Amino acid sequence: MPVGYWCPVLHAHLPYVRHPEHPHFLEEDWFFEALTETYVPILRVLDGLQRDEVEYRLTMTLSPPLVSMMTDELLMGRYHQHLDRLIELARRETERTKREQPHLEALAWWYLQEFEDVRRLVCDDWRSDVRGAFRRHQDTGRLEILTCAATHGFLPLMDPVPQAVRAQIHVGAQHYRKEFGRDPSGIWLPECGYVPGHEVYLKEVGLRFTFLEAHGLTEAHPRPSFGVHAPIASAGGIVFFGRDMESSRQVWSSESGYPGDFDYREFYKDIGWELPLDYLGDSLPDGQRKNLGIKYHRVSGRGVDLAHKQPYVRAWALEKAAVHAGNFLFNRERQVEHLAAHMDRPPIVVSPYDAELFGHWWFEGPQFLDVLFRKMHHDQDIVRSITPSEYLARHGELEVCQPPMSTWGAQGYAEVWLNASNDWIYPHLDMSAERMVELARRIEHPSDLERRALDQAARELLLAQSSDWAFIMKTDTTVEYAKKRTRDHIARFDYLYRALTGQCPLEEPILRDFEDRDNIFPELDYWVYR
Amino acid sequence: MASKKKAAAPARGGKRKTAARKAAPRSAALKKTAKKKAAPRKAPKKKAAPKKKATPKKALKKAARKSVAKKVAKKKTAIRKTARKAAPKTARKKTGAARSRGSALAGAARRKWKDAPPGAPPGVVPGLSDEDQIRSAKYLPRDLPKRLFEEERFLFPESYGVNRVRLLVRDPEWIFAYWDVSPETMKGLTKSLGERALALSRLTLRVLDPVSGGMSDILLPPGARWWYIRTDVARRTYRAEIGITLPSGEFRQLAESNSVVTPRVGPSRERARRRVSYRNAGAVPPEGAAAAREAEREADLASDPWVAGGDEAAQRGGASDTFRPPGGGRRDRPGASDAFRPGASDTHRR
Repeated sequence: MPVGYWCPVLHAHLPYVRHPEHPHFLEEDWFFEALTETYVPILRVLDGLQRDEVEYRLTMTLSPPLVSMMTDELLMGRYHQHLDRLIELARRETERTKREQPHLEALAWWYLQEFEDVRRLVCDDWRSDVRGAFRRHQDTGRLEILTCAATHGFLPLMDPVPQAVRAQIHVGAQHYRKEFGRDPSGIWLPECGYVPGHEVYLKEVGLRFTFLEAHGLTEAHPRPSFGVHAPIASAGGIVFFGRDMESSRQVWSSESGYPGDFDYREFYKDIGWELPLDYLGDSLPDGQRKNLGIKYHRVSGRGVDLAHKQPYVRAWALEKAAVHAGNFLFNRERQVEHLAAHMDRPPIVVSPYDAELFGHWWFEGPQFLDVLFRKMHHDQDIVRSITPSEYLARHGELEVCQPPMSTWGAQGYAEVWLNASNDWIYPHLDMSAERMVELARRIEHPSDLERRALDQAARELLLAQSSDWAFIMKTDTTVEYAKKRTRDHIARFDYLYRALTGQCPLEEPILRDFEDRDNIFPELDYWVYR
Repeated sequence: MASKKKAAAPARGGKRKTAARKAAPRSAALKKTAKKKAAPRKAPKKKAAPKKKATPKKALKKAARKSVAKKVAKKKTAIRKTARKAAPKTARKKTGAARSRGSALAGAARRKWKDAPPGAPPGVVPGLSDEDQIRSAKYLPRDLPKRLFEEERFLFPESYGVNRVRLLVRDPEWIFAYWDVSPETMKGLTKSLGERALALSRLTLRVLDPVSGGMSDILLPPGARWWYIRTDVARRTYRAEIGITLPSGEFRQLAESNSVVTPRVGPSRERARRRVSYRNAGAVPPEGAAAAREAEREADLASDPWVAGGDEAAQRGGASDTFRPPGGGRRDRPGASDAFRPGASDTHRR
């Protein structure tokens, strides 16, 4: 029996971005980039581990908007075009580098091979069903997939309208059942946002456990005996796992974390910003410069400006990923040995990360995971990876403690999602939620058209509630887009509300237009708001 | 579920047909008028420019009137262009010629966040050669997007016409309050109190502690729609009322908020003793969710009852005059080890 356990949790989420009204939409690239750089590489790692019979345990959240995008015909069709363009560009790059930058030619060939592999996997092997590829790994029992709130709504700030919180959780769980053919056992609360009392909604859909930021456990009352290294049960009947900060920092920290190593690929130096526009041509369909995913340089050093970055050497980067995996494993071994000495059960070290950190931000992240799982399996017996369900099945004696409100945002509470940059959205989100409840209660026997309008109103509300919009407004990245999305969904909701309350005619073409654009959760039933 | 979808499908198809049939003659007529109107519009403008001084005033006025009439007509056509089906080129021409204010706004919005050139149809980008433009045509959609509903015309309402106030917990030190007072209520108050008295009255946010008592009033500046309230170390439960403070000092309540509990700070002094088995963990709460809230709130309820609110607390509320509370909640709190805070956690997101 191992001395302790390591429970890696990758939270994969992107907001629902789908714009059928535009032939190309810059923000849809978020999804395409994450597919190429994160989701497909992680699946390749899992395929490899399975092939080589390496025992690993991984927990992942695939948020409902992300799964909806993975199963959307339009978006996956566009992804194929995106890959075609990328491969075409990579091919031209092999010729250009041969001519102009021979020292990068091998790397250009490597990119071409890589993108072709991705295309083969997604288009041929999986037949565009990426969700199905994850599902197959879940069925082997090594990968545990968690559910998430319907549109990643930040639940603590929905607290004044309980039905809104309830709908987020119910719709998320319902979607999970449909997509993964089983009941979800656990949930990733968006941004780890927990408010005491939300357990009741989790229990309604049969969820058993979730995760909290470290202070959710260390500051629970009464004080848990083992800090974040053993789960607790709240008075509301849900099990909480706490985030281990030591292992988190090793990966997340911009200063001391692995991704900042000088041999790893530099994120910001991309040919999309450097080569002439007329050469890039089709790769920039609307002529706007953007990241294209071909990057030839490494981090190089602390404070080195983009102009002086050194060429990326794939072999060095892989070597470094293996070294870091070894270091991470060594640290976990010492950590669980130390913890176990003070505990009456094997400690569990829970390390949650954004999945997109691996591959998209930290390009070598998937290889790091690959080596780490292999080392953990072959090289030692002190620490083993585990899923939350397995841990609970083996060590199910839990202390009863009540966690306080907590999130994993900066400062540990709701400040990231509620501050001068984004506070103006809450009166509108809140009022729309109240109106949704009012509609659901008032209209008991809707006509077909009204029923469609009610279901669509619920979709618009859910989409407006994505925590991503408030987050983007705070981080000052694509603020105009976040504002536009908030406005668009509230505007559509407002129209449907007015139409359903007889203040304006309910026009079917307009409703159909909304349904075509915001087509998430086709099975949604507005009764969830009653 | 499935039956619902099936039921909806024929309705959808049927409607579409009738809508198209109805709209067809109108849109055909519109096309003609749009072309007719659009054609002469450009020509006289070009010619008129150099001859401006020579044009008699009457003619100018007439032209102005005409153009206003045209604009109105254009607006109407743009708004009513439902279920219109046209080849991309003609559609583009039409939208170009008959640009309503709405679509101009739409254009402005698109430009702002997509950097598309003003008025350009999607896909046409400056800085590309003719060849590039033609090559890019293969990505153009067959139908240009039909604008049935223009979201950019939507303005977030000042008031939703209801009286209400809500509280959100931001962190242990700050609560966010927002409210709505319906114009009807204000009219009613003007009637009952008189304009003079109402002018001297102030909209007031009253913050209360429903558990241990105590309250403080925040006299709101005109136009304020939300407020950050500094919490008190000694208390954790809050409720608020929105109302009017009359010149006499009387508070007239208009709406009451939800009640909130701020999170407890620091490790609990009490060590966990009770244990359950995971199989039974689901059965822990004989009391349900209320038990969770209660357990959290009761955790270490302040032993000192709050000293009567009054001015001091009101001034604290005033600390958020700029709507920007200074700094984060947890920074200088005792017992919070900064080493354990994921400072970097947000820097790497996306």
